[in-house]
Amino acid sequence: MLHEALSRLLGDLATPERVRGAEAGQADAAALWQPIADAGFLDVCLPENHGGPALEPAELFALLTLPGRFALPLPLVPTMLGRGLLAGQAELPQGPLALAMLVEHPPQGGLRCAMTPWGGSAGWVLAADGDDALLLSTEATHKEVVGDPRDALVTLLWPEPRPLARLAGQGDVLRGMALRGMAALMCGAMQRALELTLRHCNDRQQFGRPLAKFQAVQQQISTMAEQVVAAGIATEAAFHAAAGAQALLAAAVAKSRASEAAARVAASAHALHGAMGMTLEYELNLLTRRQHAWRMACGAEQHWNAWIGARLLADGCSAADFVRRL
Amino acid sequence: MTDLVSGFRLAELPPHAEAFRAEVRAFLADSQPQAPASRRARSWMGRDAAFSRKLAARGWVGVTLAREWGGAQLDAFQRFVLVEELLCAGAPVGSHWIADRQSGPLIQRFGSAQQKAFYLPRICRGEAFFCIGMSEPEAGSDLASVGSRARREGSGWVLDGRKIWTSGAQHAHYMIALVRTSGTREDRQQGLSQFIVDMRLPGVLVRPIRDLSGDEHFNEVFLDGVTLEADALVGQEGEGWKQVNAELAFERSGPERIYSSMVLLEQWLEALRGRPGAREDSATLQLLGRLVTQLATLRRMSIAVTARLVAGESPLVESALVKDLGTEFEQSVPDLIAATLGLTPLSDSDADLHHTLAFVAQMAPSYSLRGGTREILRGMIARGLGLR
Repeated sequence: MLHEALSRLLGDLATPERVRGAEAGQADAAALWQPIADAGFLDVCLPENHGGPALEPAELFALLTLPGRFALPLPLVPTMLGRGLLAGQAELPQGPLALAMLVEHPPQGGLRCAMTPWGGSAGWVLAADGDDALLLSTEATHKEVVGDPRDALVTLLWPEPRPLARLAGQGDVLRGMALRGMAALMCGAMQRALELTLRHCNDRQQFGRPLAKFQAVQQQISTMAEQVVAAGIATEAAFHAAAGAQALLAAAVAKSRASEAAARVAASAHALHGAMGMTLEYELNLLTRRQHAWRMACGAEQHWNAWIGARLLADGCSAADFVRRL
Repeated sequence: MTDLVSGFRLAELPPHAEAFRAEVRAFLADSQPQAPASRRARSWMGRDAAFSRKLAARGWVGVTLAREWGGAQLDAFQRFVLVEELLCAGAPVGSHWIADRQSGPLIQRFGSAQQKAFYLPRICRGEAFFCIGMSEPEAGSDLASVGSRARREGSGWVLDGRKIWTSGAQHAHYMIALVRTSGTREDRQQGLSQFIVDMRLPGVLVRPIRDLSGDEHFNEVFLDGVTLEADALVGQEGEGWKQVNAELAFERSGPERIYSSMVLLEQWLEALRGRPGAREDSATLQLLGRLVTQLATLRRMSIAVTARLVAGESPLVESALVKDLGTEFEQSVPDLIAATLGLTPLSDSDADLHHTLAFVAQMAPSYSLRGGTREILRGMIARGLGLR
């Protein structure tokens, strides 16, 4: 029900034109945000005793793919997830909230959050700092946009961080959350890119028949679908594992698998769309640009693969047993 | 979202299937023959009739067949666990593999009362091993162009033709052969039927073909005026194509499509644990993490398909998708492990690990040939996505 409602709302609001407008200007972004906030979607992750809808893992996964599907240029997923973590532990901040997990204390002092999705436009950041999660205001921070500004990855530096709240022992919980959120967004963007590609290949005629009739095209679309399925099931599994002992490991697998899929799906979608996919006007570039940016956010697959590999090497169990726990 | 993509929903192995795992492990600890990794890497191509009979005595051959035939009547989740444990251990399951996986279920589904009463108990006792008579010299990926033929004679049939790439035919007691009972090659899927052929019958000649590793596992089978009883026909005359597709759903959906290189992966992991500096070597850690990430995801996909089987569906396209991605993974394992070992040839020269690697690297091309080539599977997936 929530899924259908958000899908309809984003379908009405987040047209490619309005997405591009919101990427370019704060006023358009705020105009896009407000109806979503007014409809209550920011609170979908709140615990039941705080008035949340207590979604099943599969429902939450499906819901969080939607902003990715529409290439929504707003931190809706981080805000949903972050509010769920903060509820009952700190006062809930107003407005957009970003999640940061590439956090360090530079030698010259302060606190640095690298490549934080929507770190520039969110008023607040939840940052995974060692064992803890910190709530910080983004006022008076140094902000540096990394990558294409339209994708809003921002490195933040607080010379003298003053956390509004410190959630002790919640660092890994926040990391798992951020990874699952990014993976779900990527799944949504990939699913939509696959749909657009299927439609294009069935419609577009060359040599007197649809592209879909060509075996080389069929083979490429099939491998695209395989990647989309793999990313989806790894991410759904991470949502199921979210409350358990393997939450962070499952989330790392999800982010790794979705990131690996994203680059391949984006490449195939473009290959099959031909020059049409290279135009600014057509919807595809919004999705593939996001796929590349989200792959880099929170660590790409190489980063998480090395982390997962180190866990297995240190663990002492067989690869088969390790895999069965995921 | 397309139905094919959204149809892959996460499923868990139920508690009764997980509980079963301990029984399988205890059995393997007692009964698996000792063998070096380079031999265990043969996976389901390794054969040991004595081991198959031990497994049968434990009740685990013909595992999905009904109890009335001596089967264990396990569901597809339990079979998944059994097969997963057998393959990860590198147990020599090849002798009974085809009978357990597809011939038994095919006979149970389409066979006559007499066929069930005769074959199924023998399969479950490990006394009837089967081989698959599908491919022919002129019918590989294009299976519908089979030319072997059965003609009626008296109350029975006479069979003429030739099958090829028939794994285990020289050790099998029976073959289920797909042959033409009417029309010609041009009639394609029409006029095909399936027969159970006793491999001891006069006119059946098996000629082993040595494979690139030096093993003899596949064969050429000549069928020269083989006289069959009326009851050799399985199911309906002319329904062979439909039946063979049901058989292929069994053949493609199992965990054997993700674990073929598992013994190599485990052996490499053990070698890493003994190597100083491995924990600081980010390229190695990255590769290890990548392989288990992909495997964990494939296992999830395979369990999702298993859940559809348990629900009574026949997820043909989903099975094709898992098999295609699964065999790509299986094939990448020897390639990537060779690449990482080859980076440091002075220190990474463990003899048995390299022996396993050499075997798996040679066999890997077959992973995406057996049970349907990559190109055929991707064509099925494309149709499932609504292309064509």
